Amino acid sequence: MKTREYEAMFLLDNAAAVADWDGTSGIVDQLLTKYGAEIVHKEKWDERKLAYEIRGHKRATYYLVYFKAASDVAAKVTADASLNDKIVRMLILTLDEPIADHIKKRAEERERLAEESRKASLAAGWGADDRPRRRRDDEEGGEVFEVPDVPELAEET
Amino acid sequence: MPRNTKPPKKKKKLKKVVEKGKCRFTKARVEAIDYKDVATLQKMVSAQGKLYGRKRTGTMAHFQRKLQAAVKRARFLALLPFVAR
Repeated sequence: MKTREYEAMFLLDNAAAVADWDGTSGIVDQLLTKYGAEIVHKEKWDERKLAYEIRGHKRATYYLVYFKAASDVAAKVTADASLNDKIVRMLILTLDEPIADHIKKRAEERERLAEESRKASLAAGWGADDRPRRRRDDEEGGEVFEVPDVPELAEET
Repeated sequence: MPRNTKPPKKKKKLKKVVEKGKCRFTKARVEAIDYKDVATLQKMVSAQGKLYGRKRTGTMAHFQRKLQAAVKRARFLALLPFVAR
């Protein structure tokens, strides 16, 4: 069977992930290695609120895994993952380029875009700390204006 | 005798001209559109969650197809809503 390179994103039960991250992510690792997949890179991508509720879950922890496996493994992993309560949802994608190149390119692109946006904000006259934000009440440095006493109007008779 | 003999004026529709080289992905020399890049994807969908057309955003056909796939993946992983209220 031909070996391919994959990118997989798992949405893990947030309560379980917060309580025991190693144990919860270990479920996914175990699932992949069970069918002979070789995990190349794994990372906790994010913990965020879901755009819509999935089976009663409002939040989830996103777990990103890059792995090498035979072409029939993806289907088996998907079938097994659907039986596990800790895995809310998952998506496996085949990669056209080698994993190392893919990760490197993405990192470079992210840096370049961040640099471009920084330059654009500088060109527009915004400094790094000049972004508009709400002033806190307890913040110092704000000008204090004294409100002059308004003379009371004499009642007209 | 009718007071107003002139036919009512039709409002002229202003045609939006898409600037040449307006595609943001071509300008940024992007190779692929990532479904994990939620900030970029969110700029390309309406408040309702629908993908904007090419005529509105000026995106090249090649990138519009990539964008469509990326938005669908992001929706499946609950990074973007299917329908926002």
